[in-house]
Amino acid sequence: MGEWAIATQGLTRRFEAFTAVDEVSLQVAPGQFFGFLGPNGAGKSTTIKMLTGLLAPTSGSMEILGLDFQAHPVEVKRQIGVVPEGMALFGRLTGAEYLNFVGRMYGLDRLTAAQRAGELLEFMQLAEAGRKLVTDYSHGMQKKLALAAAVIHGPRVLFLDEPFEGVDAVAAVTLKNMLQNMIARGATIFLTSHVLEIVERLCSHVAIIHKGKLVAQGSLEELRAGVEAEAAAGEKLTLEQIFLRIVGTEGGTRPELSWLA
Amino acid sequence: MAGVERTALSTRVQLRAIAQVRWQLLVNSLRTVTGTLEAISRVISGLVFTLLGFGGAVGFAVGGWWALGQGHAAVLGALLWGLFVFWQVFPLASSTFSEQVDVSHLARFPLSFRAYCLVRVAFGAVDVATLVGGLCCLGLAIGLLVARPELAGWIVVGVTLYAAFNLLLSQMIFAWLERWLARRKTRELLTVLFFVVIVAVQFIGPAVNYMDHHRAAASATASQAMAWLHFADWLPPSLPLRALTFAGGGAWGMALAAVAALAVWSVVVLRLLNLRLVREYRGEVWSESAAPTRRRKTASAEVTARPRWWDRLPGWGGAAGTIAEKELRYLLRSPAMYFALAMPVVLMLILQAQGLGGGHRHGLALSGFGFPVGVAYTLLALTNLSFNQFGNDGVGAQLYFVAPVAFRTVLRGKNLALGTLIALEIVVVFIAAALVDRPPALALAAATVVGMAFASLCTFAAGNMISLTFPRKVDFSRMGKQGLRGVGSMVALAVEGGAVAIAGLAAVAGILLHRPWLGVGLELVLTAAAIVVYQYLLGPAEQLAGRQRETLLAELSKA
Repeated sequence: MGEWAIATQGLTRRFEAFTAVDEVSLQVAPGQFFGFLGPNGAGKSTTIKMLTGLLAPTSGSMEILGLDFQAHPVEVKRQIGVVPEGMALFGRLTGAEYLNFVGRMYGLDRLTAAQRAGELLEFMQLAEAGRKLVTDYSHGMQKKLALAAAVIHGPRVLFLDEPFEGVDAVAAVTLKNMLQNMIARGATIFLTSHVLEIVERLCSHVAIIHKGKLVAQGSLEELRAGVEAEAAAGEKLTLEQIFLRIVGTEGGTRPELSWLA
Repeated sequence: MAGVERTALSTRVQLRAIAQVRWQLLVNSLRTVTGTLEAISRVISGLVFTLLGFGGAVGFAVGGWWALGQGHAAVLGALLWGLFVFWQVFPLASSTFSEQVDVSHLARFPLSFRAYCLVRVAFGAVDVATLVGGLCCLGLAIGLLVARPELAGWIVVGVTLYAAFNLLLSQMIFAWLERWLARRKTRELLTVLFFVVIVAVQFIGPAVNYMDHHRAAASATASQAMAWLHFADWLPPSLPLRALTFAGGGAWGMALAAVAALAVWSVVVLRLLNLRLVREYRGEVWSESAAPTRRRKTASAEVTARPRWWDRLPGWGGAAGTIAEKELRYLLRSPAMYFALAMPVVLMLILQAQGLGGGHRHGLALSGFGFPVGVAYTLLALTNLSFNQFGNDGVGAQLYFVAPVAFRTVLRGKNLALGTLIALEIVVVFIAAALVDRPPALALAAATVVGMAFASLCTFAAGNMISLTFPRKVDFSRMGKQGLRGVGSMVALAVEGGAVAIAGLAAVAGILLHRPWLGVGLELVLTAAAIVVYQYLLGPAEQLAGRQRETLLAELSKA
């Protein structure tokens, strides 16, 4: 599959009779900020779980930085950082203890892990939480901590499942800056979000999954050009409009719920 | 709400919908092998407890008939108090066998308060204590009716009120306990209080023995106890007896007063339960995120940066050591763990204080066996943790699958933490045994330590598999969700019992042949075999983790 940061070939995941992800073949180049979009239940989280080792694919192959995930799981995991759906936090550790633990799980020595943990806590404005246990953090604080843990080992590929959900506007700006700096330094970011404005602002490339199948993939300009050909001449489409044209209008106009006040 | 008919909100419709959804949940749980096995284990334990309940009912029927017929009021009193203690204490101690259905989420539906209370009490009543207690009450009523049919009215009213009181009281205790358990600080305080009470109860026996030897002190205490017993006549478990005694003697007024007193007690308990239910119904949510903590900026990151001496210990340097360190932090943040660590020593103190043994007038004392007794208790208290190793991790367990660490390392790290704790506890128990009892004979000490090593390795090997096959999220804020249950707990019990029996047989063989070191030798061979089996099973356990990760993470991610 070549020099891609992330590449899948015929990636499929079935849950008994239901196919959640169906023959998905996508490619993400190194250094890309890649947005992975789709309606609820389209297969986004299932795909990201397979790409990060939380779920086994039924068939197909995955390569991260040229390494086959199934053949070299540990080597691949060393190169990637993840904020999974459940955030993977340990409630009865403090923020510092958790970051130290994660750092050392990724092979950092005790000193480096502690130094980076301290810096990340300061950066994420969590240092004041001090001896507070993670279980006592607010949702937004937990999200920031999960992001800090995902980057503590300096991953070359970062997977983020709804990273801005529950994060306040000030923290969101900080996080966006951090992610853009990572891109500038050559990292690859694979992000799912329901907030299309964020994806449009951050991502250079996008893929759209619908009912388990990949229905569009390319740069924003390529997607826009493809859809605009069908739209009225001269109309500049937003990502939301592109998204809706690809997946949102299927089945025609929805009947009105007349009983709803 | 335009167009919604009021009839659509009828309580009956809602109750039927709730019953249907519970049934559907049960049916859906059978879709997985784990769910089916859990259901089978529930059916088996349900049958066992139903049989126990029927046995109890027969016993209470015979006991009640004999006590009332022959005029042995004290026996009837003992039956009533015994059942009361069982009904209230068993649910607290039996989280392995029973699980309270959480109905607090129903508060978001347009359910009337009456319906909410009904559902809450009805689901709360589906437990072992209510089943056994209800059957025993039925048996008792039948026995009493046969003995004195002329008191039928008093018997029916008295026993029914007694059963209702017990049911409401157990519900009330659970409701308030869950309120306190919902916050970490109060939960920890409550845990400490609970353990202090448990430990204190253990010293009743030795105290009675002491009184037996010190007549003067005993006499004073006895008169205090008698005064208390007089007061206890008006406590709920005594009131049915008082009602029947007065009614039997023709003192209708006093009998009515006893029944009324029982009704008043029931109303008081109902009011206290109502107080909780009203708040639950209004949407009170006690989240841990609300727990206040001091804002204190610390340099904890820098503190942990210092090299630690244990990094140089075998097995502690790599990822397994990192996991073991995290596990120990986790375990030692639980007050229950300190209780588990303290109990073997407390047990030795109790046994020694009871003077059950040699040299003493009444008994054996520990007679040099304090160390094996303490270690055996340690095995029971600590190795149980290895059968649900991910229960405390919750969603954090996802990290074990995304981190660049082989899963066998994760298991080894968790086993290392528990093994270290067990080793430290053995040292503490040895010192305590030497002080409380006397230092054990060298061969006995060696047999105990090696036997414990064998048993621990067996439980770790089996525990790794059980933890992955029957994971169960631990929720310290919910009664009945704080540990392993169902098939997992049965297998855990079998493995622990089997390992102890095998090690014990080896030691006993040495003793019978008058060559205690032979027993130690046999145990060493067994331990060496256990090491090989343990190491071998890490491979299959890793494969199992791969197959089970979805089930494991789904269970641990449950809200």
